[in-house]
Order: sequence, then structure tokens, then C-alpha cells
Amino acid sequence: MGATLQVNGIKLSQELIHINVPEQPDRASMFTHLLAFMAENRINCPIIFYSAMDSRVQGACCVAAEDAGRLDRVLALNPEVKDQVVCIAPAGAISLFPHRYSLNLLGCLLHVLGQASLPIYGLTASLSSLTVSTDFQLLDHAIDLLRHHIRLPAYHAPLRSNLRIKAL
Amino acid sequence: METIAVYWENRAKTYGFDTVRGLSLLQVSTQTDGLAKIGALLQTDNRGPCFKWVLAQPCPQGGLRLFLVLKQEDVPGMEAFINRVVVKGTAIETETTYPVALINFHGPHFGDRYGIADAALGTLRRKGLPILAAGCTGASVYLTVPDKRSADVITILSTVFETA
Repeated sequence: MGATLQVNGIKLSQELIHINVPEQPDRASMFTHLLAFMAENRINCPIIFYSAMDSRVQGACCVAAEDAGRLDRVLALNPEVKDQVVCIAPAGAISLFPHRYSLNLLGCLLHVLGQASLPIYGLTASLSSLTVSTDFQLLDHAIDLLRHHIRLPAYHAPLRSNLRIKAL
Repeated sequence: METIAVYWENRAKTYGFDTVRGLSLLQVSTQTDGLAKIGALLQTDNRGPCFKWVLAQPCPQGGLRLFLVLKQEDVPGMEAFINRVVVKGTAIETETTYPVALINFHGPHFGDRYGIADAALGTLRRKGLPILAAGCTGASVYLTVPDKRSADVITILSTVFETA
């Protein structure tokens, strides 16, 4: 593929549940309702993907798999929400940084994941990272594939953090 | 070892809102077989810093929809660049929305706390303000809105987030 890209780090998330509100006309209210529902029940959504162009509204959020029990209980109590969402589990997120606002790292992610037919449930950028939600069980495989296209510093931080912060 | 700290604030704190106006939102839609080809093409781009923000979502009918927020003057070149994939036999669709504003803000532990997305996206939607695209990851929130509504969006967000 040519020259490899220099990145400063890669982070892999804990196991997640990716919750889709599938694209339907005028579904903005349902996604809004889902976010309010999560907030009311103190379920954190650390990753959000959302678009509303013309009548195409599509939203998704990721929650920690450890919140699955609480999520199931509150969904059971709110069938009008449960019937409108599709949960994908186990999901996981890969974050690479820095993206430098360049298409190169974005292209690398799309190329590697697309060529290997790894699912892209969602992708977005922060100040410095590109984060993609995919199959949790394929995270290590994705990293193995990406390693052929990126260079990490010799003493980069661990891919998985042992530090967990949670709002109660 | 587990550490528990108790902290409460009426309004989540943010370090401030950053707004860039007069941008374009370029949508690129491709089928599944086009994803690797578009990715390979983007890897060859040598223009340096290019996008302001990016979002990608799967299309209901398969494939991926890519949203790129760019400077308006960069759109023609980007469209021409991406259309090189079409020359290679991969179908894509592009659509540009102009003008848009990109608003981003972040705050302490945004990614660790519940309610941040609802406070941002939910509040704006309940107030009837349009959000064309949005993404939250880590401690960052990014919103792409119609350019002429950006001031209204900041006004509303300022009622639910406290600027530190």
C-alpha cells in the first residue's frame, strides 16, 4: 500500500452495545427520545453518530456492555422505545490519533476495514481522534490489519486502558 | 483498587464553544464494494489538513455514507478527487450542503458521564433547532448545523452548559 502512516496511539474500547435507530423518515424525535431515556436512567452514551439530511434521519449510540442489564430492564419497561431500536452486540470502538484533519488516516481506516469486510457501525472524529465502532470480537484482527499501514511510537500507551471512570 | 468520588453540578461545564461558519457539508455515498476503493484513494491524498470534521454511517441499503465538513473552496477539488473512484467503475453519489456551521465543544469527563448527549442534541431538537450531523466521542461534541442557525444553537447550548 505504500508508505505507512505515523500515529501517536490507538485506543480500544471496552465491550459496547451499539444501539441503532434505523433510518426512517422523521425519526429525529425517536432518537431524541432515546437520548432522554438514557439520561433519565443514568446510562452513559460515550459515542454518538447522528445525521438528519432531508427526511433521512439516522442515529446511533454506544453504551458499555456492563450496562446491558440495566438497559434491558428499562427497555422492557418502555416497549415503545424497545420496538424502535436495533441493538448490536458485542461492539467495540477503535480510536486512532492524531488524524491531523488529513484524509490519509481516514482513508486507511476505510480501506482496511472495507477490504477485510469488517463492519463499520459508525465513524466520527474528535479534536484529534478518528473513532470507529465495529465488531468487538474483531478488534484485535482489525488492529493486526491496520499495523501493516500505520506506525506507532516505540513506547506507545497500552491499547486497552485499565482505568475506568463511571458516573453513578 | 476502586476509587469513588462524589461530584455534582447543575449544568455540565464546558471549556467553551468553537464555531466555524461558512463551511460545506459533502455527503459521499457508496456501496459496500466501493468502500475499500474510496479508502485507498483517500490514502493517496497529499493536500495535508483537509476536513474540518467527519462522520460515517452505514446506508440502510448497504454501503456507507460519509459526511465531510470542508471549506467551501475545497469542495470542487474534493468532488473531483473522489470521482476518480467512479472512473474506476465504482458507483458513488455526492451531495453538498452549503452553508453550514461546525460547532464543537468539550468538557471534563464528557465521555464518562450520562446525559451529555441529551443535554446537547436532545435540547436542541426539543427546541426545534435543526442538526444536520453530529458526533460525540471522547470528551468532544461536534454539531453541523445550517449556518444561519448557528447563533441560535449557541444560545440554547449556553443555557444547558456552563462555560468554565
